Amino acid sequence: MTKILVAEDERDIRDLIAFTLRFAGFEVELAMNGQEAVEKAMQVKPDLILMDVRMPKQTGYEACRVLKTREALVAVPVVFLSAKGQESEISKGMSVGGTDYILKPFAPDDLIKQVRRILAEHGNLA
Amino acid sequence: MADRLEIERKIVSVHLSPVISAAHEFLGAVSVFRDVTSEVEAERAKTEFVSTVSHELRTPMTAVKGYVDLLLMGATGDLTAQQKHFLKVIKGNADRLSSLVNDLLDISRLESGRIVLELAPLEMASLIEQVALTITPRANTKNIRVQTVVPAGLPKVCGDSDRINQILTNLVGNAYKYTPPGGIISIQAYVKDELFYLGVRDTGIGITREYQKKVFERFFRVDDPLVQEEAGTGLGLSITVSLIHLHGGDIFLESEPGEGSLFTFTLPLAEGESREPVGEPPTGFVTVDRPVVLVVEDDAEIAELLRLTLESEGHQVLLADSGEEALRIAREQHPDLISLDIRLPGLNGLEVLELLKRVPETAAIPVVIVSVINESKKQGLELGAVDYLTKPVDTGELLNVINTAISRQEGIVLVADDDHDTLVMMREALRAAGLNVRTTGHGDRAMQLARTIHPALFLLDLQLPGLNGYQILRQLRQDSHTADIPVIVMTGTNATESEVTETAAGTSVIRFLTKPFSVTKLVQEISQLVAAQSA
Repeated sequence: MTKILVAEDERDIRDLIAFTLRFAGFEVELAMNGQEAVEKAMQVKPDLILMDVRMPKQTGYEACRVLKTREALVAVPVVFLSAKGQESEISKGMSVGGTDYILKPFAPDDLIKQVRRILAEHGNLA
Repeated sequence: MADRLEIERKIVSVHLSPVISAAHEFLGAVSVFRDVTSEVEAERAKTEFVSTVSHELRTPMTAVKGYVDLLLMGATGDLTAQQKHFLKVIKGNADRLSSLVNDLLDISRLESGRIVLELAPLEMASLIEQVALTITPRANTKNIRVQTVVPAGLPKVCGDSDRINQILTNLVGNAYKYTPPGGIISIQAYVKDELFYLGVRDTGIGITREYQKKVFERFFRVDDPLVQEEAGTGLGLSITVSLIHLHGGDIFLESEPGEGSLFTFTLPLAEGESREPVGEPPTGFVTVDRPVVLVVEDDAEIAELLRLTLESEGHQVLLADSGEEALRIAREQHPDLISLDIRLPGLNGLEVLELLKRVPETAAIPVVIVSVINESKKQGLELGAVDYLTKPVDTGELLNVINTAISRQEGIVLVADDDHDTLVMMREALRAAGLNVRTTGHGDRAMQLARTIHPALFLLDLQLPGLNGYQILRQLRQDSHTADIPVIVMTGTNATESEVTETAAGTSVIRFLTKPFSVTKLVQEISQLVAAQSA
């Protein structure tokens, strides 16, 4: 089963994404901040990481930069959850090694579609 | 002992002006330095505050919308119809809040100059198609047709594609919101005067002259139940205008209440592109359903006063400063009413009145005499004037007399058709035959006119925006005041005669025409009908 790691500090949003992805048939792992995202990623070796930008301890950017230095994780696509209209956030996400971004706020069915598309583009769709 | 040196950054505004003597000698310059640090700081803090608040509002909005969507998707099991309905209400309001937050963020960034355009040569054809495609599914649910007129060979513009998309989406979205079912939204591109023009035209409720300037103001919303019904903040257009100005373009509005609106904006052409004209501007709104009043008056100031008074009442005004000109205009334009002065250079007013009444094509036009001379009153009324007013005229009384005269007019033919060209053609043909004509392209307006003017004949196309032909026939039948209006039904190909006759039972549909038909024959027939009625 395709495994997705979700890093998001807002509990309600985190639960929303988790429920949505599980509903779509994915296996979901959760992290509450950037630092935890890096640790969890090492443990569970996900197929895709959904990463919020603004998080405590370590922001999404910092976490992504670290992830890209780990050999085991360098190929795992990191997708940023970026607020609509924050073009600078998006370009910064791409510059630290992000492969794509999904705009917030998102509709659940749209989130599923986008995740499937990105996985297909990376040949990871189980 | 060394003093500690405080170093502080200051932002200073500098104003320089040269000092020049009377003999044009340059004496020096006056320099004014003003410390604006705190103002800039305050502005920055305000913008940052709005930006942070917007961001903070988005997170809970994401949760609200997301969970509602999950429930609506059936992710937690089946829902009853009422549960679904309530969830849709929550979703609709959450969407509204989200767009408000987006608009506020845009406004704050526009104010602080933080929106930087990413200008590039831009192909507009695909962008227009994309916006049209996005709105089409929503338009279909309201039975609104979206059409694009994009001529080949359009040059590229210089613009920011995301922002131009936002501008066009806003204008098309407004057109959709304020256009009743059955209407048309048309997006038309052309090049004129070395500028790229993009027009968004609808067959919506339109905007009165009073409100046409105000719609671009922040938070302004037209005070009309039809408008208040639609979700909106009154920020969209003001953002759109700012974005257009940021591109170096401009925006114009043309609108007729009941007919529709046309928003047109310009964009600069990209460098190195052809500057030759391409394509055609959309046809403007010929104000077909407003009464035309011919004011015959040689005193320019009084003429102007009458024009303003009548225009404020929604009439269209033609001016003539001599009797000869009045006769010519009356013959050619066939106004709905003539306001006539007695003292005129050349032919006087009474002579003009006599000539008007002698010619069949102008005899039916009601004439109101407006004069300083009181003694000709009897003679004027005997010659066929409907009323006689003495100057100085009370504007309230004038409007009262004119409106009554227009609505009492006999033998008016009302034409309702969604095709603008057909309307203009019918109006010209019927007027040339000496008939009084009122035309409209909108079903609601047609029904309203049928009630107020009680036409001698109603030419009705079945396909109309707003109330369609069938609904109009039904409403005509239900009202005893309108049930006796003879109707000629015009139709394209879809409806069969039996379908129409069924709906028309109880109304006075006297004839059924399938397009195309001979206009000459129809006009002849109508003339006979109207003559028979008034006899």
